[in-house]
Amino acid sequence: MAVVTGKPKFNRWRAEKIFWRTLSYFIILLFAVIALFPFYWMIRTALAPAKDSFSLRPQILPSSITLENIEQVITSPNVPFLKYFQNSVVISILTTLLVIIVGSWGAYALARLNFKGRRVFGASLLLIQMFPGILLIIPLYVIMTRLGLTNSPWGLAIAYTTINLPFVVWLLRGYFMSIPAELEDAARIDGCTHFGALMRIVLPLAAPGLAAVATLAFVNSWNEFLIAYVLINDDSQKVLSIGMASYIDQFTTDYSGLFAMATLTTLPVVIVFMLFQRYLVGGLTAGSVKG
Amino acid sequence: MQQPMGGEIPDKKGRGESSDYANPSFRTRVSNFVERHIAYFLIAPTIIGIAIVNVYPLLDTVRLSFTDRLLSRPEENTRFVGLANYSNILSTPDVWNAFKISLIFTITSVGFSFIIGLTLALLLNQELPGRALLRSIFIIPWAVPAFVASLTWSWMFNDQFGIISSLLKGLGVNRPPIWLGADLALYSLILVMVWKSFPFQMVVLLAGLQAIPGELYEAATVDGAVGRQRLWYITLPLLKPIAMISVLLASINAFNYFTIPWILTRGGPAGATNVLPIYTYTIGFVGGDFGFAATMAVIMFILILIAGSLYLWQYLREAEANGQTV
Repeated sequence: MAVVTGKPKFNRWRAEKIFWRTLSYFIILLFAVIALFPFYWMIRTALAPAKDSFSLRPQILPSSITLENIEQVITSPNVPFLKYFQNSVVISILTTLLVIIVGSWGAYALARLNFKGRRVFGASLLLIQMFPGILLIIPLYVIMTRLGLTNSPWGLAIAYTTINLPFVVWLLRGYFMSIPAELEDAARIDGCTHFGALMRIVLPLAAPGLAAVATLAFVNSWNEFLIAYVLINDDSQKVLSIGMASYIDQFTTDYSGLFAMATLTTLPVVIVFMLFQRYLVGGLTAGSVKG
Repeated sequence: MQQPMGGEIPDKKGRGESSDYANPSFRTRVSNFVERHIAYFLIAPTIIGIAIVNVYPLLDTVRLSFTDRLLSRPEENTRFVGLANYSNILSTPDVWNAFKISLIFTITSVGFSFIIGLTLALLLNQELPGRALLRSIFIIPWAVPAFVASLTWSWMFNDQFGIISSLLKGLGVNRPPIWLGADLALYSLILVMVWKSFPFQMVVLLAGLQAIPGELYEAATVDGAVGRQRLWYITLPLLKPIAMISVLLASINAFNYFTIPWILTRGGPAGATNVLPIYTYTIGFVGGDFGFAATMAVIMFILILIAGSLYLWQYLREAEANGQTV
């Protein structure tokens, strides 16, 4: 039976499959070009000689490739690029560590422990997701000034950590819930405290989820603009995002230098994101199962 | 666990020994206390952070919204003005304009980024050669800082030196449009926003797709379902809960988005891209009217809260209904 009716069907099925496969690739490639082009254009402007930036008919490919713009930005006496870069690294790493520690504690309480106010805690985290950033900045500036945390890496790290927490706590809560509770129960019977169970058993098992969360926190704090713009005005404390803003103010038409700086700012975070991309998908998958 | 240290051990230090004996019991008491209230210790840092960064600013903004606080005037001379700011807002045409533009910006950008994100997630969930590399490529716009993305697009949109107009001229278009002019600026911003935000949708939906158990597809295939049927009757319905959450998060994000419109157009030309965050920022920090800006911020929050709660309510109702039928 299968021989009689199966053969023409098989051919049609195969042709259809090839058609869909080709169409898939076509759509994917089209979007890949659109997704990549601005990124390419940033790097292309950074590596092309400065005269290319004032061509009235810019071409896709640069007239030649040079590292002059990059070198100029790194060594420029007017803009302490390396200082900005260092500040960004310090603040992003500090934020990432704080997010992992504080976020996993909150998520563990929400996932495993029964306490009064648990529902309120969970619901207010969702509510906070809805705050307009613009609502926060004026009073945030006032309170950070009172606490002496303006122009300080700690001020930014605290603000960035808190902004990341609601999403992180919910994500990790889902992740923790996908880990069987029996392991902790066994450890607790052996005399381990809740805190010990969290640190020694839950966290190692949740490593991929933590990697996802760490990636998000790192990228978000590296890329943040508005809060840094308001909280930092001392040049030695500036991070890359606002350092670039002051570069624009000083050299309004130096596109080559500007995009050299943009490239140096963007590459580290893009590399981090690409390296950790599979944890991001994996972490969200586990987090969403019981989310 | 801790053993008393006195007793058999010869007493060498007299009192020191007895305080060593007291210390563990004090420590035990502390650790018992911590263990009993562990949940509160674990959430305390989150609560402190939220109190400083969210709750205090929210309360202070609400307070400011009932005053005539100006940036240029000392706090002491600020007066309580009741609901004056709120009634002013209702009668200011710019506010309604900003609200309308914000709605267009949010709905259009979220709609397009969702469709693109879903398409790519479905395509990249198949067994394709080079799949991992392609996924990495598609998340690049997410990783690029918003201010860098905005600067790059603004450079590409440039009338004189921009690559987009140059490419169009190469294709024979003599007068390429002015991308950031009054007619097109809003759509150009939407394009940038879609470019920046579709990877988030793609990653979340991809995660949702991978959480669908493979047995369901096997069972459906055994029952004779073809690809399209599997998509309509298994994939999309099971994806709906996570898709609704990702649309909610993306909408809140787009409604509050500041950096892209600020760097590309600052609300111009002639108010064509004056979305609510830009309008509020301009009123507060450029115009110096903190009271009015605070009122705008409070109203934005209330709008998001209402829309978000209705949406979540609908989501939970559907989830419950599904839970009962399955």
